[in-house]
Amino acid sequence: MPLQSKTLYYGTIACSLISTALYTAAPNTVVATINVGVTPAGIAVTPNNQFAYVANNNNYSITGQDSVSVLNLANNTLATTIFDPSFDEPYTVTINAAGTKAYVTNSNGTTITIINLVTNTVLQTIPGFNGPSGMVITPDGNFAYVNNYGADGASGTGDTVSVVNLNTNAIVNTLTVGLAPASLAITPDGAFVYVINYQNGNPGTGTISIIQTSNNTVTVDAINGFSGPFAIAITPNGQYAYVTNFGSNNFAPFGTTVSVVSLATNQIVATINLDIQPSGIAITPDGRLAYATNYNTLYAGPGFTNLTAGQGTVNIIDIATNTAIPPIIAVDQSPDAVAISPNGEFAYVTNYTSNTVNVIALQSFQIAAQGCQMQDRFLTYIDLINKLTWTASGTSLPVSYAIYRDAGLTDLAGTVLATEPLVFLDHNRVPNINYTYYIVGTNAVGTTSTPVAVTVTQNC
Amino acid sequence: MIKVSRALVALTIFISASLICRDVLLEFKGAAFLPTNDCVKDIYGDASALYGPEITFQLCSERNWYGFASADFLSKKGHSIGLCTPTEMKIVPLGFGLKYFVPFCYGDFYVGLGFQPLHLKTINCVTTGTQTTSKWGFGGIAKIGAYFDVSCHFFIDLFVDYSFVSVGCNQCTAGTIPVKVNMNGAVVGAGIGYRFD
Repeated sequence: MPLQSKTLYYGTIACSLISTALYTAAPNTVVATINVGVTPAGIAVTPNNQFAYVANNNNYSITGQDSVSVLNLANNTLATTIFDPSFDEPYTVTINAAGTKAYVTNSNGTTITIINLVTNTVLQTIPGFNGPSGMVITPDGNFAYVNNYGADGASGTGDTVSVVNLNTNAIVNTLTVGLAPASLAITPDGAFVYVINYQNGNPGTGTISIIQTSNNTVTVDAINGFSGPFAIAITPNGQYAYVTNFGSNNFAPFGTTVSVVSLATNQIVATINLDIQPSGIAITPDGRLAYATNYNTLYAGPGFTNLTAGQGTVNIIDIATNTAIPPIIAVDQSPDAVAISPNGEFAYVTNYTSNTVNVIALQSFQIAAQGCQMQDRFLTYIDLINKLTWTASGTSLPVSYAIYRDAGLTDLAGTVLATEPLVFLDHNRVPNINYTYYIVGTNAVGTTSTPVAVTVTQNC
Repeated sequence: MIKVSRALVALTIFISASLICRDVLLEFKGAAFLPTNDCVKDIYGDASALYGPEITFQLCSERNWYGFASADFLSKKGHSIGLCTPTEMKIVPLGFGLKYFVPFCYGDFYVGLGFQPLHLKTINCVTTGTQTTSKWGFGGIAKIGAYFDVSCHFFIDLFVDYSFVSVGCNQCTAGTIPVKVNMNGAVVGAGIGYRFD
């Protein structure tokens, strides 16, 4: 959703590299920051996890600064910046499943720009939209749905979704939805598209329209009760949608929640309190966690003056319990969109007023461990052994494990490579003591897990 | 070790004094050690080969009473109980005692009772390397058997012994829990020897 206020004027145009990806980091920490173009908004990662494309919204309308930044995710550097006359406040980027094309919505215009991802050049544009601000592609790759938020002085007045034939790159249908469709998401099976409608941004006025893709029928205001909905993400199992309630585009009143929608009943089933102005949201490939950015940009002066960007943050939501869990990740100012790499290793956050992208290392795997005590009986003595066994699941599994005897992770008992049996034996233990161990996994990109505590309380 | 040294000195004097008597039997034995302790059996198996010399000599004052002294050797590999860690035990049982001979037409039956010092060494291939324990234990030995004369001087000894020896291991390996092990078991075997008379 393009920010309506043009009074925002933070940051400068900068495209230099700040940091690289050579690290070993705890999960949920910022491991790199990449300078991109002016007011970066939407971001998408290629299916092979190698590149990210950032739509630089150029909210300040600086001539020649409508662009798309291409990030090399192997070393978290700016690979190139694409400039093209067709760009008009580019707002979102959508990459097809094959990873060959990116579709850039030009939120201040009427077109979508198609980029060839092999050459990073513009292939063509698709005309006929009205402030396009989001796009989803059906699983078969044949159609796209584009929400028309309204453009060029009429931002927020659109109420349609365009259906695009991606084989012909032409609009084939226009569907009426709720007022000011801000974003949309498609269910994993492609059966439904959920469109969040900003309406007027006041508390409780936002709605969701549901499009049945088989016949393109719409239930316009199927779900109500949102407060300036800004972004929507659907869980990989297709059971729930998570909607950020940003609040008003004019920054007052502001929202602080994420609504959880059951896609079985199409009702809000939970509301999760986050920080100020939840904006972007993305769900990890394993469906365990959602990451929501908190824009946190408010008026500091009286009478809605002195709009000031505070500390941007990212909340983590536990999908199983629908609660925000620690840590709260500090990022740059006005974090907008968030994208998670398909392998689940990293989250990428665009910071609208800092003109940066923060790279957050994620724990893409889980460790389930157990311990027991056993004896190795020799003829004249017994070696009392604590035996730890564990399994790892996820999308980017550890390549090694470190086993510590203390929570401070200073007493390293040993390490186990993932190529070996996931068993650790701690010999020569003392009887009648409850031992607790802490297992830390490290994956190939250097992300370590939070320590998994295992207390040995029973015999094997 | 002091006890063992004293025992060896006593044995030497005992044997030296005995050699002046008229009947001395020297033999070399081979036998199977059949432990009764479950732990020993689980780690090293139900039977182990044991071999060594034994000297038996007539006590001067008594026609049917003989003294004996023996030294055997046993080596057996096995695996620990739990992690199946490779381990090896080496045992040197010594024997000192008395036999009572009962002549019969082909030789002599005998029964005996004695004192048995036993040296136990274990070599365990644990993860940190090789751990070796070395310990003496003390117990007794009971004997029953028969000498069969095969010529004027040569004989064959068929015997069954029973050893009962306990070996402790206090603090023998740092960080481990010491346990006492009973090296009890039967020794069934045969020997061939020469009789000096």
